[in-house]
Amino acid sequence: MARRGVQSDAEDRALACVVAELYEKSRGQEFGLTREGFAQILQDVRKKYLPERASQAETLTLYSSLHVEELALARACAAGEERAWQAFLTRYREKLYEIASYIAKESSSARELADSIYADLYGVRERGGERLSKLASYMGRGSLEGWLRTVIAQEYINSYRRRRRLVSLDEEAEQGAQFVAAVPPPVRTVDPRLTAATDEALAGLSPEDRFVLASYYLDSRTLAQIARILGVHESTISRKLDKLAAWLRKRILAGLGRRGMSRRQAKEALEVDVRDLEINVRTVLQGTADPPFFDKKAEGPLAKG
Amino acid sequence: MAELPRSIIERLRGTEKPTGHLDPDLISAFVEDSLHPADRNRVLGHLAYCSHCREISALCLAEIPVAAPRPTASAWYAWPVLRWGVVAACLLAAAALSLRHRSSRPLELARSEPSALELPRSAASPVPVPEASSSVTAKPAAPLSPGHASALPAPTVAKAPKANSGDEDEAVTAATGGPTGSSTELNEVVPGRAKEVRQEHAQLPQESERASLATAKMSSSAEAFATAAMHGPRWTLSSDGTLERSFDAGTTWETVSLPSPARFHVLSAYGMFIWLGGSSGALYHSTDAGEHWTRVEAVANGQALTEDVIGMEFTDDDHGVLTTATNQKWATEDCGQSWQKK
Repeated sequence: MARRGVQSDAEDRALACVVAELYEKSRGQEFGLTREGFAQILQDVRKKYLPERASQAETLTLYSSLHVEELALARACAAGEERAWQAFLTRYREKLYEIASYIAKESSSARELADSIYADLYGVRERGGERLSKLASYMGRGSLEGWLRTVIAQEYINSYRRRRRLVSLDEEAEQGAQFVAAVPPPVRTVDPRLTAATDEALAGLSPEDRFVLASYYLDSRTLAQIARILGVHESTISRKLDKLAAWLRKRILAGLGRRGMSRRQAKEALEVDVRDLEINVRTVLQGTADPPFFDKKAEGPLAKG
Repeated sequence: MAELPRSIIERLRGTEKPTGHLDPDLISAFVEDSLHPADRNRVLGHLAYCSHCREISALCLAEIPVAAPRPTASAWYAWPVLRWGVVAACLLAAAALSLRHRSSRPLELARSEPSALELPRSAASPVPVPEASSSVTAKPAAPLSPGHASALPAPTVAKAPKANSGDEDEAVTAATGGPTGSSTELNEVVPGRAKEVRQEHAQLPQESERASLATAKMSSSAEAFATAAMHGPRWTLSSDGTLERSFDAGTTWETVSLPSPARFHVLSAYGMFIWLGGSSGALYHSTDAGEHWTRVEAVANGQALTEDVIGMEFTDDDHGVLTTATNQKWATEDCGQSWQKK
């Protein structure tokens, strides 16, 4: 017990040393941030990202990875320090509008977006007499600029979605839009064995592999975009997609085989989608009707689709 | 590009099940590639199922500038004509020497041991802080495998930067061949793909290997320099963990930027090959003197390497042992494709 106590004291001293070094590195003093305040910020970060019983090494690894200077600046701004806010404006004000312009594309939306974020960062709202600044939620894991970019992107997506829901029907009716009753989609039955085999195969994917597939096939991202996100070459993503497609096919066919399908049945089930076989009966009937007497030479193949 | 059957795409969509969303800190850190491998995997695990967070990541990514191609050096060795002229001259000289030597005595192969760098931690500080190093030791290089230029002069590595000590950086030497360009690209981030990349990018032609055998005994400084130029740059790590290389035996140095925020503590290089280790398990490998890099994720028994790499000893490009800040040893025998913890 005594030995454990000694070890714990040594660890605490080492931790305090590191915190002191990080405080110096953060230049928090210039922004009116005390060492105790800085230590409390680090505690908050630790509490957010590490479990209660995280080891000293994990704590120190987390602390060393933080952008402490930007963290100190952001938190000092959130606390209302004027010097910090001036420094923030000098470094990030123009950047804020540039980022908003890039994301929103259109200048008036960009300005509106940037102004809204600016207000949230400054903290125009109060709760219990305390200013609510979004900068208080910055934790220093990534750069402050990257964090601002993410916040702006989030706000843009949220406001875009809100606007879509709030379209005025009166306006649309005036513009001549006619609203028809929604036609319920036809019920399509997919073989449950195929669903089960596919889900089983997808569950076997690693997070990165699934991310690549989802980005490419669901989000329609380009190879270059996916490659940039993962920090690899575009050709790597291309090869990965080919390999994953082949691997999934193989796993699903094996799964279908285990579920009682023959090889041919399994291949047909996988490759043929009933939606691709939809035939417009009216069009087909019209296409197969005898052409007018004077137009017999215009006969052609059956129309499909 | 292989097409995926619609049924699979539909199930991919149908199985999206986000549980909450990532906070902006994690998304920005992920996009900037500044997360520990374990955290990065967790974030990827969320992104794999959440289109909302993927959309935000993509929007953020657009703003991050791609690492610009490195400006070409203005020194003479940056001119392709002169560079290949030197190589051609060396090949001719090598051919002439080998003809002469065949009639006299067998060539002696200069054998050297790979360099290694150990960063001893100070006893008072168990913390994995790069500044805690007190000295650097370099071991002589181990015998090289036949596939490499076995006549290389002893390549050594060193460099644990000591941020607060003010110690001078020690120059590191290595091997052959000037790169064809000075831009640095990150090639792959796939565990265990280092060997495949080496096969794609290793550019030591057999002729230059024979040339290096023949020229090992050259005595003139110009010829020695040509040999050194053929055998790769010298490397060093500055006090803030920045990687630098020199193609002119240390006369001038240029910074090698990797698109990684990791701080590097240790490197091991010989020939065209270099391994680089740093904070939070950052591990990079190049087979063409730093022109292209592969990020290697060391995983042993399902556990990823997340600690600072402070020591590194590679006997050749395949066999090496890493030492972490907590004195763990991670060994590979296949150029980083698989790892064992010792």
